[in-house]
Amino acid sequence: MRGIVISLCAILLLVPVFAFGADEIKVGYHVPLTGWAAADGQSSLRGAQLAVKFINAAGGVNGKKINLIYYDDRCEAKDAITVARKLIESDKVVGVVSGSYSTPTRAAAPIFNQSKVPYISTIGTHPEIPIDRKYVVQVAVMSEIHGKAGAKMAQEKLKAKTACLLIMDNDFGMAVTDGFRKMAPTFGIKILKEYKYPLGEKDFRSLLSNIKQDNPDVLWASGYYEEAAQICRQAKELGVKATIIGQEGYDSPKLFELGGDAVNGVVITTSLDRDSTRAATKKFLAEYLKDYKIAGDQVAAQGFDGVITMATGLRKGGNDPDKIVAAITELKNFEDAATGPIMYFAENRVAIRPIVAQMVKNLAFRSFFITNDKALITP
Amino acid sequence: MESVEKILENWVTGITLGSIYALISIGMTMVYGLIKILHVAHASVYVLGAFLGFATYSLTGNIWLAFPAAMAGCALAGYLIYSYIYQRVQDARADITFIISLGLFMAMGDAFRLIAGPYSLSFRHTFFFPGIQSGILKITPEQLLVIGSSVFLMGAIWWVVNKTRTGLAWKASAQDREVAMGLGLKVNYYFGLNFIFGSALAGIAGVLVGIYYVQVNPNMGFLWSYKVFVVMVLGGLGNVLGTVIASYFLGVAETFIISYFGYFLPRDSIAFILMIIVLIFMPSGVMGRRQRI
Repeated sequence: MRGIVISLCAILLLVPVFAFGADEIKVGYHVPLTGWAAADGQSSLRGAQLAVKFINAAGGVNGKKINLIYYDDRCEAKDAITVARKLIESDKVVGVVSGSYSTPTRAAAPIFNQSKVPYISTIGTHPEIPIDRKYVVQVAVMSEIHGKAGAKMAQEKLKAKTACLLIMDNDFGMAVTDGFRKMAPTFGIKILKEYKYPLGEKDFRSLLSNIKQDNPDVLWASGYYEEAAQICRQAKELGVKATIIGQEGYDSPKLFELGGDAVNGVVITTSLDRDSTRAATKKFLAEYLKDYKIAGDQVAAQGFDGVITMATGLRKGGNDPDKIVAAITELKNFEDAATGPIMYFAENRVAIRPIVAQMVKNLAFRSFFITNDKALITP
Repeated sequence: MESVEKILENWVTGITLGSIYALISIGMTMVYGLIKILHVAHASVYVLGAFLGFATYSLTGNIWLAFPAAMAGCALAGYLIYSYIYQRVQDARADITFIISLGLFMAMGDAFRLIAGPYSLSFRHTFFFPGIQSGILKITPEQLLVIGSSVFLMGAIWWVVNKTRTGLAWKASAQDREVAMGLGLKVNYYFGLNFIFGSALAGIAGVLVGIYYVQVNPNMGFLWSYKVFVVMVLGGLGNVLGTVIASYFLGVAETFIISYFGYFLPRDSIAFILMIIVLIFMPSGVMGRRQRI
């Protein structure tokens, strides 16, 4: 009797293995769908799903459809670890894309690397993520590079001579600002003063009063769209004259909703050029708007790029993780990416790509500046 | 001249913050002063007010309707919370009522998240009255609204407490509940009324904060679930006037400290450090009565 029960259990356990048919390829995705980063998480997932739709409509990968298996990581390291184990052990995915920020991505990267599952980071910009992990690929642009490109843009397009820094006190806020601080003297911009604020602050008036006194040409303000909306509103209210420069953290339609007219004239460095003439970007923006009735943002485009890049690797690499990663890092001028071409992969499997700046005009991001100056965009 | 402008701006910012702190804290102070319950769920009533105001404004397009709607909804919620929950346990130990209140706070917070979604919603609005702009003094319409309505409402509370029978009944029940009941006072009725007043104030505070920061979100009450204790302790637990003074003190102090020293600590840590300092030197708060021996 016991023998029968045990063999029945064994058969039941085997069923999923047999069920995972030969006609689909499982790709994992982890993304914050609840918690404070949920809005970005939703964008990212939509971008990824759009990529899957494109790939499967064009015949899939080597004749097999992609099945995207996604889990919520709540933007927490501990949840990302649980999700990583689940994707590897029970879903047995061939590759995984992270649609999450640095903290969960940093936590999950070593697990995927150890299990030899190719892993692509799309918006986790922390420099440590891919270092010494041969199965981890970084498609996101390092935060510091945004800062460096921002300094060049401030000098070239805004003719800035002086700047104040308003720094969000976390990994992202510090890293983007480091880049700006490093390059500012090179471009003849004098940094008058630096102000730090903690994540989640809502009232910036006391700092902005000081900045108004400093009267800089530009205000380099790091933050996510919630903080950004408050900074822009309160700066306008107090009469701060400096042009506010933000980064990809501002890049969300929520910025316009929460910031209103006060965000017009703000310039941000990002990866997605809304006015791009590239076929991949145009197709992405048009289809995204059609499917979700909302404008695609940078996070969505990065999620899209992560999946598209993974599919390209799977096409050449099959089931072999080493071959998949090799196929990805060999890419040159990869034009299928929505956020602009991946020019090549540098040391530690980091994608090198142009940086764009967008200016907000009539509550929409508009093309303002682009750079592919190697000195700025390589880490 | 320049720095005078900055000082004025900081005063306006600080007083606006203080007004918000006062409106939120008064209700909780009133409840504690009267029934000795640490009503943490008051922070959720405040969020409810913000959402009711936002929903009313979105549906009708009239910002002034947002206030009575939030007041009425929160007053009802406050009454229900008292009569269905606290009234049954008001004689229980303080830790029991506190845990009940904490549970209620969490349940309400998650309910808001489930209904409204996890995102911040934009509370865009336009006013037809201008702000003040004379020389270097600049007060936006939102700040004027926050400060003005707080002063008005605090005046109203003062009047109710000191000039009406209800206020007298509150004071009597706070001093000695048994004696008040023995004299024929319907204590539970007045307790319910107390919740209604305090919750309506929290509702207005919710709408004002929504307007001032142009957004409402389900997590906006989280900070208040603990920061309100700072204000209450600073003001001497249960003392309404002390709470008002502590609120303005905290709003102004935070603003000036951040302006001159930056965020050497997050804003709320500054509040807690002030509380610890006050507790060391004035153990019963800035307005607290001296300890009876």
